[in-house]
Amino acid sequence: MTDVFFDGKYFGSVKDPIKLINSIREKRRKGQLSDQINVSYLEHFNIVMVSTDSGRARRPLIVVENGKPKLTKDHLNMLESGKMKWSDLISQGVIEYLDATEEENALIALKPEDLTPKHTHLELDPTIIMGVATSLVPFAEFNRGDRVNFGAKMIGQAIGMYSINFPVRVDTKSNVMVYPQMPLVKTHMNDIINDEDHPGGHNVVIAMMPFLGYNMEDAVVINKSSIERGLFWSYMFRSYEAEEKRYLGGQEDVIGIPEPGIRGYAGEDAYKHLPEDGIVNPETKLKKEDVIIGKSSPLRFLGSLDQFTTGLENIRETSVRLKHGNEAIVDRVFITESFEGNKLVKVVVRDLKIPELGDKFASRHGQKGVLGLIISQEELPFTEDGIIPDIIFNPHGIPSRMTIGQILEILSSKVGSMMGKRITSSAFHPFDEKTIRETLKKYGFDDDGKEFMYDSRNGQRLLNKILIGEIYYQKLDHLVSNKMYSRSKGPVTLLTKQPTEGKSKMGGLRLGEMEKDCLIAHGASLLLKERFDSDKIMISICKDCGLEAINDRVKNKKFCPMCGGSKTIDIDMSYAFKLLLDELKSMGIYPKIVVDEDLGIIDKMIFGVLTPEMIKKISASKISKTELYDQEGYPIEGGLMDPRLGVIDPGLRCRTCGGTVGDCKGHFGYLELTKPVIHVNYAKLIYNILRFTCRKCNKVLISPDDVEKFKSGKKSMKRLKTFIKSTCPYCKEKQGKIKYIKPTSYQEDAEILSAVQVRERLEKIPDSELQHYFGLKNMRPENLVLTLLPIPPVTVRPSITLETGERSEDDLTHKLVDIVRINKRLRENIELGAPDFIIQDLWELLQYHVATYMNNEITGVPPARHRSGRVLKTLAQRLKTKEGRFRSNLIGKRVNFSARTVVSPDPFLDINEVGVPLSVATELTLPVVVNEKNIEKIRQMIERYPEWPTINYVNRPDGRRKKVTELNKADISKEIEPGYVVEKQIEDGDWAVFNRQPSLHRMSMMGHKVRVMPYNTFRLNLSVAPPYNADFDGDEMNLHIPQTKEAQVETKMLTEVSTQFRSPRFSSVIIGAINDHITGLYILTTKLKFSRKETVAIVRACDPNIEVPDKKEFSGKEIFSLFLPKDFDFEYSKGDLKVVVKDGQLVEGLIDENGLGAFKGKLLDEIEKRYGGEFTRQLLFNMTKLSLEVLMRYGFTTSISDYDIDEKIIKQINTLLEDSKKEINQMIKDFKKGKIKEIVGRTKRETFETMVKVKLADLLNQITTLVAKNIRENSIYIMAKSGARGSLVNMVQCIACLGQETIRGERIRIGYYKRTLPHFEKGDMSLESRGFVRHGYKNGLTPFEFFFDAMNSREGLMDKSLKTRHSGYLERRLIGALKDLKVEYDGTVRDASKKIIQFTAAEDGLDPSRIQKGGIDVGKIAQRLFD
Amino acid sequence: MNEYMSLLKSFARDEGLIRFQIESYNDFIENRIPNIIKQIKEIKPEVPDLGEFRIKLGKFKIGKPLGTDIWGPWTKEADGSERPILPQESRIRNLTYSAPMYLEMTPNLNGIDSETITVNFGDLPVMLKSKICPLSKMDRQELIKNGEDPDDPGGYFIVNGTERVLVLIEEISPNKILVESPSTPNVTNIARIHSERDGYIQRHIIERRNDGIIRMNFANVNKIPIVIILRALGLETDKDIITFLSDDPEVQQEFYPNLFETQAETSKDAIEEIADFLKITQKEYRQDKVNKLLDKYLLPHLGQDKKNRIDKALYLAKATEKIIKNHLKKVPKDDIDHYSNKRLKLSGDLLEILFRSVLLGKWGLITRITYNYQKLTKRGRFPPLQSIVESNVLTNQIISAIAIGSWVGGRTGVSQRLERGSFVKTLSHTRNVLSPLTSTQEHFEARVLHPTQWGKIDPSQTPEGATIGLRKYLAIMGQITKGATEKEAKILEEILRKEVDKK
Repeated sequence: MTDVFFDGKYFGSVKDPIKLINSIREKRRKGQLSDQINVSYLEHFNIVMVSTDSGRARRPLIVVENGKPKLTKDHLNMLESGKMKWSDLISQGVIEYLDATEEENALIALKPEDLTPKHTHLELDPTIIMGVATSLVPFAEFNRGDRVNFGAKMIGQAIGMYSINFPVRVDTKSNVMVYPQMPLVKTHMNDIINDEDHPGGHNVVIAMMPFLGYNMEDAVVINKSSIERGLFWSYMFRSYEAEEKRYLGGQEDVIGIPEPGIRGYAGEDAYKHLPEDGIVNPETKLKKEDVIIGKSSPLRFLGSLDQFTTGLENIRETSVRLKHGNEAIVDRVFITESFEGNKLVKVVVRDLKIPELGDKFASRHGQKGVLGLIISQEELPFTEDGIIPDIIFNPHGIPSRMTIGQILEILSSKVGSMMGKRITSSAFHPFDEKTIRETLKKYGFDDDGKEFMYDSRNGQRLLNKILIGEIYYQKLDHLVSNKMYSRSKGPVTLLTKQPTEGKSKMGGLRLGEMEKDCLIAHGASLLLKERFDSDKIMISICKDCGLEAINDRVKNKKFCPMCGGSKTIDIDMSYAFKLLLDELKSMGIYPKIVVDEDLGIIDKMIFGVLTPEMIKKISASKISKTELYDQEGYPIEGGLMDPRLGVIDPGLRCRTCGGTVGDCKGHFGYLELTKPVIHVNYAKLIYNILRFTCRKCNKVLISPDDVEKFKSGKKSMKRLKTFIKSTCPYCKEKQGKIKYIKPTSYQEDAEILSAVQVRERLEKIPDSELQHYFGLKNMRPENLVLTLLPIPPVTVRPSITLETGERSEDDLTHKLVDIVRINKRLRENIELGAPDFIIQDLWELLQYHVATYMNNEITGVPPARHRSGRVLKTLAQRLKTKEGRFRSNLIGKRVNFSARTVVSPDPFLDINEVGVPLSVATELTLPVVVNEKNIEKIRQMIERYPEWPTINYVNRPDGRRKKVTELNKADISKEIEPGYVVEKQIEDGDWAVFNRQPSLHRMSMMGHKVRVMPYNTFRLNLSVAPPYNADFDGDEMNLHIPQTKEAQVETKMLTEVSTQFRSPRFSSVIIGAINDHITGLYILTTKLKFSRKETVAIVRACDPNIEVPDKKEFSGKEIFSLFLPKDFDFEYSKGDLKVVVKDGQLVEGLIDENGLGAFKGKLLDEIEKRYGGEFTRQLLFNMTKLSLEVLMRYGFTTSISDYDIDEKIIKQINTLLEDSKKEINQMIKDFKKGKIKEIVGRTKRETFETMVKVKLADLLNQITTLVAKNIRENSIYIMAKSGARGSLVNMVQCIACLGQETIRGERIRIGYYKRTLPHFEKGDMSLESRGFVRHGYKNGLTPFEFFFDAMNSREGLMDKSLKTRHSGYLERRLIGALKDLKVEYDGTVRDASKKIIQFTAAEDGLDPSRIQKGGIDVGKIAQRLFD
Repeated sequence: MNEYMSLLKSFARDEGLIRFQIESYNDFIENRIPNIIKQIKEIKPEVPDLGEFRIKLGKFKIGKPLGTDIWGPWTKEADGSERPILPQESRIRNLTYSAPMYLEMTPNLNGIDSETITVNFGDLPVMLKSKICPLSKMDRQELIKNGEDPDDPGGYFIVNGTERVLVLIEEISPNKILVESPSTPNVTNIARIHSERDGYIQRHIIERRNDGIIRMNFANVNKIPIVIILRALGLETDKDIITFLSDDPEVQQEFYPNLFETQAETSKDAIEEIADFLKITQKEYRQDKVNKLLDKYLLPHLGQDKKNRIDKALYLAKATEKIIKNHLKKVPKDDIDHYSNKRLKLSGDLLEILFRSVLLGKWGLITRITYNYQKLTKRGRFPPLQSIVESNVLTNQIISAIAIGSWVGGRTGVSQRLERGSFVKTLSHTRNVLSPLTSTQEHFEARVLHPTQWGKIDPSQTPEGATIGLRKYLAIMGQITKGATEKEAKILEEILRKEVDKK
């Protein structure tokens, strides 16, 4: 019997399930039942599932009966003519929808040809497996799975025509391309979604060749003339909005030009664009932060200060301004009415975005890259027909990504453009390679689209033909102009006084924990200190108490509130640290600072517990009132915002010290708790003290004999417990059993101990006992039962004023209000003589509030919440975790003088230079002290304002700071005299620290020399890309400008690029040649010969100082040797390659990855060792230029023909595949018959899988050897062989066969019951059904193969995004464990407490980056141990 | 090639790319809201001063007439005037594209009907291109004239001027017995049942321990032997239990030790036993509490009445059988990631949950009506219906849920701002499938592309980073069932009844 489930209900059972489901299906097909119904028989569970519910994902399939599809030509014709609708097909039972459950019963044929009588359904078409975006990728089945994913993603990011009604839309931000085109090569999807009206790219002429290194690592070169013709132009629209809101009490906003005199009035000049109605007119040009809509709003909450002011001052300026950093033209203005009937104004502004360096472009094959060079067409190579490419794409981008689809698109576009029509190439219905190549031939081209091209610099023909054709390229919505950002000094947050976050708020960039680690690794301590002074303040510390002293501005004296003494010392510290001290004090902790008086720095800190007396003394006021503000909105005295606790409002003065905001750091207050409460964080300690001490005589319950025993061992609570007696060994008092009830109460023999009792007991315990047994010094445990609560200053919990004028209090204040309120209620109740249980309840409530005030994440205690239900962030939460004070404000923080933008390559920039955009250079400054010698120069600079390089600010010796403007520059220039400090814009040669995140190793932050350049990207030499792990597909990097001389010196001496050649990880160069460099040198040293004239031209372009000997012809090796030092002898071999350099001449061998490559370059390694970093840098710089020059002349490209292989070989590969398939089929047969002998410890299945795996590995090996032997020496071969890009595996995967797709190392086996897909029969174990891909990317994958490839690449992408996080965390923990280890001057390694960890660093005292590579012979050591 | 192009084209032409969303919304306004109202039937405020008072609920209508054949969205201006509205105006003026909902209400005092009045009880956001959206009736030219992109897919809402999509939410299929591998020690097999009723899900876990005893967890019941529950549900003899369980002697044998877990011989005894198990001490409540537990919280999808108990017993017996069979390796465990074990929540489903809670929940519209009546009649007034029904309550709650995206049950990010970065992005976004699994955990199996997604989910498109494999997109022809209507289900049930033996 088979159970029948109907929509998740058990319905009954049936004898013949097949008959049942067939009859239901038949009725459904006849239309007698709803088409929403699905029914299936699951044999493995022996149940029938009947579903009618909603939410099942389904797909349509053609019904097959007796091996014949029910869909006929007639149907199709009728559909075409519109006589029939899709829904008719369903109701006629021609097509039906199956859900995943019913598919279990289906056997689906992919193509009509495959149909057998067993099949139940026919796939409509394999393309339907893809979604909207993926379907738009042409030749998708010729690309590796991850590239299809990227391609689909980037089609979505393309700037184009997002909606044709955009002129009447008001999206907050949108981009529209000026004249987008439909792709030359399209897919069926382009038609279905009517892409004709919404295109998102341009068809461009592409040349596949390196271009002097400007298109390395994914960057692209674009023809300037094409841009000038309008290529990739787009508009960015942004909308701004203002509403004339009405408030309670009849007040309302006014849209119009704000009247002078109101709060925040920005001056007449700010409103110059505004016509009378206060709304800008269309076509007005706007610059930085210009007012778009003038608006003024009433102040909502009037403070008492405002009582006497005029009406005008009760109005705030709330105009809408252009976003910071933008320039725009007003495009359109909408004036309408909102739902409430208020005037609503929406202004859309536009900004023309012409392609510039750093803008991101991508093809539809996941090949993205930033614009690396804009060069006019006169300087670009051209074909014999005079065709000049729009885009130059680097062939090194192809082999490792295996985007054969991209090559095919170029070729078919070329065919299409010749034929004058669009090509359609949907997935699995490709415009096939053969046709492409034949057609190209027909039009007189090479069948691989390659053409001879001419170098426009000298008119010479490139040695080899270049692939040139058309391709659809997209400009993505990642424009540099929206990304570039720099900050010198700027706004800080109220709480921590550190720079704000985010570009829109003028925030600073973060120098996080990992970046800090880099600087520490460099040993650049003063640089780190300089970077971290973004919240530096000066604090007076009492030399006796170690607490902050009060600096009374009125009496002008400094004194300690605790001891009253005036022995204070001023020290510098981070404001976040000061805040931390206050937060600790709020928790009742006494952080005593011991100052090193000579150095004026903190020597150490001693932690204790604040006593009630201390709290009282350091307090400026006693808090007792629950209200915060009076009716006028002025803080109440004795309330939590008591004016004696400090100031946070500008313009006010502190009632305690007379300081203004900034001067006054805030003062504590105290609250007298009506009844004492337990300090939650110490509850466990109190428990231990209680249970280990006698309740009568207060001694520790340890017998005198055991004392010595305990003292000799480890002094842990756990161990102490073993010595504890149940009767006091001294006074013989029988002890009660103490129980700790989490979180804050104690029981003695079922009787609850009140906090008062606990405190009494703790008071009596002698100091000596505490120190000996509990290790408690400098504290009394009774103070852990709080009687006074320190109230933190308002600066620790600043309230913010919202846009609406309302005040919003900090979480801590909210919590404190609760405490004060309950405290008051408790007192009143006691005074009224309320019943005991009420008092008890209130006491407990007070305990709860104080506990959650300290820590709001106590287990078993419901967290205190805000009225909105949000959990409050109280003291412990402020310190803990990644977002806590320690990790987010102290170990890493946001910093000043930093900039961030997209990076792009510049091969002609020295390796230790960094190209800085002019606009960044005008923002970032360096302080320069004016003296007699430089005063004239500085005067000139000031007068030059605003032209770079000039002075931004002038600081007078008395501390006044003045901004230089065009109006006052003449005056300032006259005013300055020696002693002034001016802030000079950075110039060429200034030092900068360059950084790419994630900062995984020391070389992620290096010192570079600034070179100010046009455009908006940071530019770097390609040889430093590997240590930063940077490429040019849109990466952004950070730049820091160290301000102090010490920091600059450290940057130069310790972190500069030339000093970082060697990685301490593997003791070899990490800066070196990559991609084009390697290919270029390989080609140069293997096959090229140049005439003297050419040689001179080449060499001059790289290093004008090199003399070229008088010789008629030069071999590549000879040209290479010109750059080597004359006294250089070196020999190395790698594999069967032997390289010999003698007297500076490359005598034998060739230069590849192992010569000059980053990570592997042996030659580079040797040169660095012998001649030092500075020399190596120059040599590498020149050699990379040489190789780029050579590669340009050589004419390096790649096309489909590179993946051609002899027909015979293909046949051989096919035979190999067929043979293996046969063998494996035999194995399957054997397995099914049970004839397989299992390997010990494995099941039959596992054994079988292993056998298949071995067989397949063997097969792949054979194919690989076959391919390796027979591939011609073409460009992909050169790239793989020289180590520039790609590998043999990539070649095999493209040319021959992909091999087995795996998930977690296994053949694919998830899916339907006993089969992966419903296209296979149950129990099918064949290769193709388990994810074996027999095609290469060049041949295109079948739908199954594509799907399995997608599964595999999904796994790859998952690894990438999930594992990185994991390893980052591991690294953090590792660094955490090693962070305070330091090599002392005596050579020992010690931790922070000066304990010796190693007597010599690493036990051998060797610098890991200087150890000769070779490693340790483990075998030898093992042998010695065994002997 | 051509063949399939015409198929695809006609599919795109006739069905569109987001038919499932629009159909689901249509279903919601046509069937589901009337159904909810039918379920409520009447409101009974207690007004003792007046006698027995009821408000009978009648027909439901949405929208105001726009022409002869369509009822659609209207807006109310600040000056009180009302007029039809189109999406483009809503977008520019920060309005909500919504239509008023009307309900016929007949007050009945002491059995005497008063006049039936049609009351506006709230506004519902209108899905673009749905049945009640005028755009669905326009041709390309008209669309362009009204400021629309003729190729815009529709299927989203406009709330306070912003376009919001209700994304598809992928959930584990409710009301299924899913056998999984256990993660706790001493447990050999577990079965999971997510029982769903009216959008509310009750989770049940049945586990078989080492000793062969099968226990279950649900609601506040922890590890209660399943026999007790079976007995309490009405299987009073051991024979009943065994026959309900399975025909397979091996399974019966395996279950045998369980029978000793209860001493109860009648259902009543068993109910007492459950009460003991739950440590309910108060005599008065004992029975009531257990009865409520069995009827309301145990497998609510099978009904919440006493008469459903035998169905529940059967269902539990089947779950037990499956767990034992899985233990005996007679059936495999369920593959949670198999797409037949997934359900996608459509906008209709989501709106239904929201609608129910706004209407029926604590402080929902109905409670407020009752409360207001009681309050006002106490003061001796008998107010007209129209003034009592606070249409703003419903409107605001629904609008704010769609505007913010936080739904009933604490789920956030349900509605998202429609991405307008590019046309393709917009299309893709309306076809977005979201898994509620946390992106911070690994969930390897859930993220991997499962072969059962073939043809339904795009194999390639998924974001990189934390949500990889959890955020998916529908394949071109992937469709989602809106569910058969009650009538259609009835027909099927009749057929089944003929063919299937009932126990």
